[in-house]
Amino acid sequence: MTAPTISRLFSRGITRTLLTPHPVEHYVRSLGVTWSDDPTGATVVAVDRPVADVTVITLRLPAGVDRPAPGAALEIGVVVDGVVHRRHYSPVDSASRSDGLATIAVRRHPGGVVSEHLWSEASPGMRLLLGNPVGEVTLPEARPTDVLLVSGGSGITPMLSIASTLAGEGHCGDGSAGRVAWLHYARRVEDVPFRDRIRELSRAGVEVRVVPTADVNPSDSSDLSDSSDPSPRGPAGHLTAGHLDEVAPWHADATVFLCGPEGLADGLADALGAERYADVLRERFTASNGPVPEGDGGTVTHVKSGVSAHNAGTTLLEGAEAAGLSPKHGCRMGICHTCTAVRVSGATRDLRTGEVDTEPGCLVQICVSAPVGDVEIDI
Amino acid sequence: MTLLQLPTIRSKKPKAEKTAATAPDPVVLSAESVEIIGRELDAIRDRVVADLGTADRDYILRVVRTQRRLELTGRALMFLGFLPPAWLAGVAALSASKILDNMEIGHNVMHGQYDWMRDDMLHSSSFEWDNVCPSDQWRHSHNYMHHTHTNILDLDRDIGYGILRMEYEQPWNPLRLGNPLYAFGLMMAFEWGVMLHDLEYDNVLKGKRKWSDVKGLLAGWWGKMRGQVAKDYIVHPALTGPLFPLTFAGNLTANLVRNVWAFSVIFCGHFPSGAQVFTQEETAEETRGEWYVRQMLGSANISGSPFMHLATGNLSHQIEHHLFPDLPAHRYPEIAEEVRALCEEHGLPYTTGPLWKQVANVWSKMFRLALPLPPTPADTPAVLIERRKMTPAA
Repeated sequence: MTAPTISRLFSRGITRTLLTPHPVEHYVRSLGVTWSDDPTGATVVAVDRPVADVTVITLRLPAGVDRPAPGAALEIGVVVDGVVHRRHYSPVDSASRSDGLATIAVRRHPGGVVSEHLWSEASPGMRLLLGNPVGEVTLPEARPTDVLLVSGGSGITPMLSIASTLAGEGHCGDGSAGRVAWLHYARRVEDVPFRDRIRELSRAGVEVRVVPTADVNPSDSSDLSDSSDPSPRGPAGHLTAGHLDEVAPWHADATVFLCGPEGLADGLADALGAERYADVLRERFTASNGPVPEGDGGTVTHVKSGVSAHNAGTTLLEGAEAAGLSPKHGCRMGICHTCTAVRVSGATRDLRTGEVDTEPGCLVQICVSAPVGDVEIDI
Repeated sequence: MTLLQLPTIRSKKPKAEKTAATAPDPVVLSAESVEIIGRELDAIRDRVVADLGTADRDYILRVVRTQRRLELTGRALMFLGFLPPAWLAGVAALSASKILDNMEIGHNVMHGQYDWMRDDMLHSSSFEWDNVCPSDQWRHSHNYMHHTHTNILDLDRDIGYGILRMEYEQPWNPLRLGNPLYAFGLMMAFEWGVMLHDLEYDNVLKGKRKWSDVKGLLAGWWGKMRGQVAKDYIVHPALTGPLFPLTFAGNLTANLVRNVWAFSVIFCGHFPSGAQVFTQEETAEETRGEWYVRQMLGSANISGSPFMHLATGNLSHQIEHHLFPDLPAHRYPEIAEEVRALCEEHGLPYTTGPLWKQVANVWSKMFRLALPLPPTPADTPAVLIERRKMTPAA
């Protein structure tokens, strides 16, 4: 982008001073101005629910906010019952899309606050909060010649972005030097969203297989077996070395991307061998609220100081002090908010209300919070 | 927990004997009552916490929107500052904006009242207010020092801010003659006084604070002060070109109005007759219930209309605020009825009164305390707390 956008202009010195101490974005948000440059929000322009449990949302990104690189995710904030819940979703469309739109797919989880809310509430015009894009692995600027994508379940989304980008760039297919193969694992083929898109990718030269892992019926091993599908039959069941050889016999030299559950990762590690597996670029599922263990206490990892210690169920503050740390604190009774720190992962209990909270990346008061299971805290 | 019933021994000198005859006998609050009160208050807190949701979010966002509109209106009117009514309206809008930003938004957000929303815009860990005091220093001097140690002599630095004599227990010396004068100065420059609060200058003078303790504060002051001063006294006046002096004066006036208002409201919170002070000995190893009771007895409310409550950031419900400093302040009016009933049930005073009366009360106290006079009946403690001493937590 050559011309400075309004928000960039406004974030410069003089305007900052004019409005100090509140950032420009806060004025925009709190005044309810629908300003396309507001970098903290995005507007929903279309909503689709193609399969029984996936909400597909197309967002208009604010001018000046770039699409995340292929494979990376947008941070989306959704307000449910007054509380902002943040989740990460990879856009599923090509990174070269230039109309300022980005499409995300949200799979419903039973009891999932955000996914259920978007399933029932998302509609055009809705405003979602926007954070910084995140991603552990993205498609490198210098595209690898051969690419093998392996995904499972919700891991489909970053792979769609990578595959669409490569296909859009003419990286694979007739007359091109590169090869791209993609194995996507799902319990049943009919649960997989974006099958039309997958077919398009297939036609564009991506060796793609949707592999059912459950309820395999040989006569119905792939829902993609319509006339337009160049590969009516494919592998089935959990990942094996045979699957890789069948779809990408050349995979020994390929750059491998993985996004999926642990079981899939284990399968890939077995198929590739430890040495090859070490080079796999793995996008982790952004820690969704996992199961909460029974009873308080667990291993607390203090991320900043690198100290890990067992906490039998006392407060995180006392635990840190027992481990030799001296985190910032004040009242020790939950009223002054000086000890607030980021709980990177894991569950904590508010000892005053008894409530357990598992949302990743949230700020907690360590003087009144005890770990429930293993916890990572940014102190 | 071992129960060791200890009647509280007041540290007050028997100097008060002369007046004791005329003062009503203090209420003695039993240790059982303290515990019951603590449980009831915890129940109120739990109920409100469980009920927080969309309405509370909408409320605070509405207040923020109003504040921003008032601010922009005030700034815009300064361009018409050559018309006296426009200048006055501009000052009024800016003053109102600064009062809202200071009281109902800044003070309350920095208490963590809206942290549960997990919204970066209104989270205590990142919020900055339209005030020269950096928010992290405020959270230390106010949220921690004042709210944890409310009305404990020599611990709660809000008792006189290190410069005023606000209680008889603070010893008199000839410098105290300037008490009302110092108070007036503090009132006019309140935001600057608040900024200096965390410095504990008296402890620096006494050599109790080292340069290294102070050094960390300076960078924060400089950063905050620079932006605030540049905004109100350079950039906005300069934008209005030839109207520079008028805009400058308008912004200065708005800051003064906010200072006087904030000072008045805040001084009504703990110093009117009826609010008790405590010693470190009698508050050592407090139980939850004892902590609650101290908050109630040490605070005083201001009665008035909903508009008044908004303008004070609901610090007109100082008692409820001190019991539940991190519950959204607009919930205090609904909580107040229950708290008041609880006080009545246990024979405890619930100090409240209209603003003018409380302000007059506080100022008259500041004048009286400038002199070495004996305490009046109104200054004797109304409640003696029977303590249930806890053994240190195992």
